[in-house]
Amino acid sequence: MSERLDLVRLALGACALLMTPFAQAAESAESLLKRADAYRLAADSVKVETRIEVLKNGQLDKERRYTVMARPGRESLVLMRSPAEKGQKVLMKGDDFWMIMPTSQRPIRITPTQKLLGDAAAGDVATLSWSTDYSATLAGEDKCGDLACQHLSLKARYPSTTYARIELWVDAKSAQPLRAELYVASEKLAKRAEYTTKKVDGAMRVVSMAIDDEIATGRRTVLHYESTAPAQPPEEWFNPMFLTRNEVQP
Amino acid sequence: MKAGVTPTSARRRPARRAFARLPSSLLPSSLLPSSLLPSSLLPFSLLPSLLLAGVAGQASAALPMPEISGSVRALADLRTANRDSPLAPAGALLGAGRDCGVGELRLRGSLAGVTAAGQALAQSCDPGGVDRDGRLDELFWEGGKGAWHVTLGKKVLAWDVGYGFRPLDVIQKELRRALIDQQLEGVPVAMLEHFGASTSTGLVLTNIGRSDTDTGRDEQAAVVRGYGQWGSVDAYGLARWGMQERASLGAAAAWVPTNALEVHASARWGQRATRLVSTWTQNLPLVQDDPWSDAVGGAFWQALAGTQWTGENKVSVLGEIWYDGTAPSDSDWDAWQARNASIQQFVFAPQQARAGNLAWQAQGLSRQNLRRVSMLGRVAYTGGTWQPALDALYNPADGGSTLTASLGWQGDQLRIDAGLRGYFGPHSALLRQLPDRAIAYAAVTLPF
Repeated sequence: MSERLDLVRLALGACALLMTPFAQAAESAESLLKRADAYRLAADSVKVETRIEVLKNGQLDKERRYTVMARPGRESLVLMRSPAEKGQKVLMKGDDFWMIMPTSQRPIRITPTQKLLGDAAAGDVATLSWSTDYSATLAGEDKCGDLACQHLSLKARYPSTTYARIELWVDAKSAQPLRAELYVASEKLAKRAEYTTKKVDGAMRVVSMAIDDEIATGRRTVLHYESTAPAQPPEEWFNPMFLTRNEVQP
Repeated sequence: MKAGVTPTSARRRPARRAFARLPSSLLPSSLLPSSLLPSSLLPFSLLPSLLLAGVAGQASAALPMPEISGSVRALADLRTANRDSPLAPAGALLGAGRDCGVGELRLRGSLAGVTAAGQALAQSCDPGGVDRDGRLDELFWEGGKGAWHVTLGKKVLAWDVGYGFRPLDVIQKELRRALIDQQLEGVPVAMLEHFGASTSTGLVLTNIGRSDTDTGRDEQAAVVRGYGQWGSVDAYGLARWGMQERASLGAAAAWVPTNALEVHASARWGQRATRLVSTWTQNLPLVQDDPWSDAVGGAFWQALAGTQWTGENKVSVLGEIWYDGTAPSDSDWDAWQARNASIQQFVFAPQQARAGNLAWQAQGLSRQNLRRVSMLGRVAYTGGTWQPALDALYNPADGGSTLTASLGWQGDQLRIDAGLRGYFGPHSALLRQLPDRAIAYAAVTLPF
C-alpha cells in the first residue's frame, strides 16, 4: 500500500516538475511588472524620503534630499530639502509638469525633457511605478550574475514619460528588480540602473537604485529610499498655484 | 530690461546708502526708493497682533520646530565706465566704473503658519568706506480652511509667464534680468484664495492704508486673479483697480505642445500708467532742481510672446519679443538726447552744474524697458555642476544690445557664479549711452 502511495507521489511530483516551465510562461509580462513594482511602491498613495548621492569617479560629489508625495493617477510632488535647493518643488500630474522656485513664487510650466535637468532628474526621483507608465513585453530569459532572470522590454504608454523605453531584468522567481537600461526618446541609452533590495518591516523592498549616466560618463547617482509610508496629502498640494504658498510642509 | 544705471546722486528720493550703491543691474526692484522698508510696513500696524493670533491659534496643538534656512554670499563687481556716453561728464556722480564688494546674509524661517525673511549686507565701493544695511523682506501669516486660504502680511507675489518681461506682474513689479539672483522684497497684501483641483481664484488687496496718491509698488490696489489648467495649457486672467492707475485687464497662457517645447504669451491693457517724465523747459539750459517726476496717465498696452526649447542634451534655447507701451516713445528719446546735447553745449555754466544736470538725465535710463519693442535670446546648459548661459537683448528701434555671458558652478552646497555683461550698438543707441560700458561680476554663495 505504502509503495503504491510512493509511486503516486512520485508521479505527481514528476508532473509538477514538467508543469513548472508552463506555469512560469503563463505569467504575463504585465503581471511580472506589477510584482516588480511591489518592491518599489508599498501603497498607492505614499510619502517617500529619498537621499541621493552623486558620485564622480567613485568620489562623493553631492548629496541631495527629497520628499516625494505620490498618489494614483500618475501624480507626484517632489519637495527639495537640501540647502542648495531648498524651497524648490516639482509637480507632476500625468503629462503636465511644473517647477516652483522659492525666489520667484510662481509656477513655471516645464517640458518633459526639463525633467531630466539637474543633478538628479526629477523623473528618476518621482517615478515609483513602472506598470502605470509602461506596457511590458517578455524579451526572454537571461542570466543576471548567478541568478536566472526575466528580461522585460517596457515601452512608454505616454509621450511625456521620462524614458521612452526601459529594458528591465527581474528575478525569474521573485520578480525582484535587478537592473535596467533607460532610453530617451531619441533611442539613445541615457542611463543604466541597478537595484538593491532588503527586508524592511517584514517585506522585501528596493532600498536603493544606482544610476550610471551614459551621457556624462564617470558619474553615478545613488538614490536611497530612506523611508516609505502611506500618506494622503491634501488635494490642493497637487494644484500648481497652491505650491507658491508656504503651507506645503509634509 | 534693466538699464544698468543707478544715478545715486540723482535720485528723486533718498535711498538707503548701502542698497543704493549696488549696481542697478544687480539690484532687485525692491531696492527702488519707492519701496523703503519703514513706509512699506506702515499699513501693517495691526500685523503683529494678527501674526501672534495665528501662532497662538496653532500653538494649542503640538508646536512644530521652526524651519530655518539662509545663505551667506560674497559678491564683487568690476565696472568699466563708458567714456563715449553723453553722460560721461557725470560719471563720478553716477558711480560709473566704480568697483564694489558686497557681503550678504539672508535668513528665512517659518513657524506655525508665520514666515519671515530678511537680509543684512555690508558693502564697500571704491572709493568709500563700508556701508551696512538690513531689510525685512517678508513677514506673513498663511492659513486656511478647506479650499479657502488667507495670507496676511508682507509677501513676494511675482506673477506672469515670461522671462525677460512680465506684463502681469502687477504687484511685485520685479525688475527682470538681474545679473545674479536676488531676494525680493515683498509687498503688503491681504489675500483670499480658493483652490480647486486645477483652478484657483483669488482676491488680493495691496498697500491697504497707504495714501491715495502713492504710485508704483506702493499704490493701493485690488486685484482679482483666476487660473485654470486645461491639459497642456495654463491660463491666467486678472483684473486690477488701482487708486492712481485705475482699471487694468490682463491675460496670459503657457502651453507645452511637445516634449521639448514650451510656448508662452501675456498681454495687459491699462487705463493709466505711472511714467517717469521730465518737466524741463526748452528755454532753460540748466535747472537747479531735479526735473524728473512720476506722472500718472495715458492708456497703454503691454504684450509678450516667447518660446523655450529644451533638448535631451540639457541645452535650453529661449526666445522672446515684447512690447511695452509705458516705455518712452522715439520722440521722447529724441528730446532726451537733444537735452543732453544742450547741457553739454552750455559751456558758460560751471562744469559741476552741467555734470549735475546730466546725472539727473540718467534717470531716464532707469526704466524696466528703454524702448517699446525688445527681443531676447538665451542659450543655457543645465547639466549639473557647470551651468553656462549666454543671453542677448536687442532693441530694434536703435540697434542697441546687451550681451551677457555667465557661468555657474554648483557644488554640494557652495555655489559660484561669474559673468560679464556688455552694451553694444551704434553710439546713438540708448544702451550705448549708459554710464557703464561693461560689468564683470563674481559671487560665492553658501546656503545652509
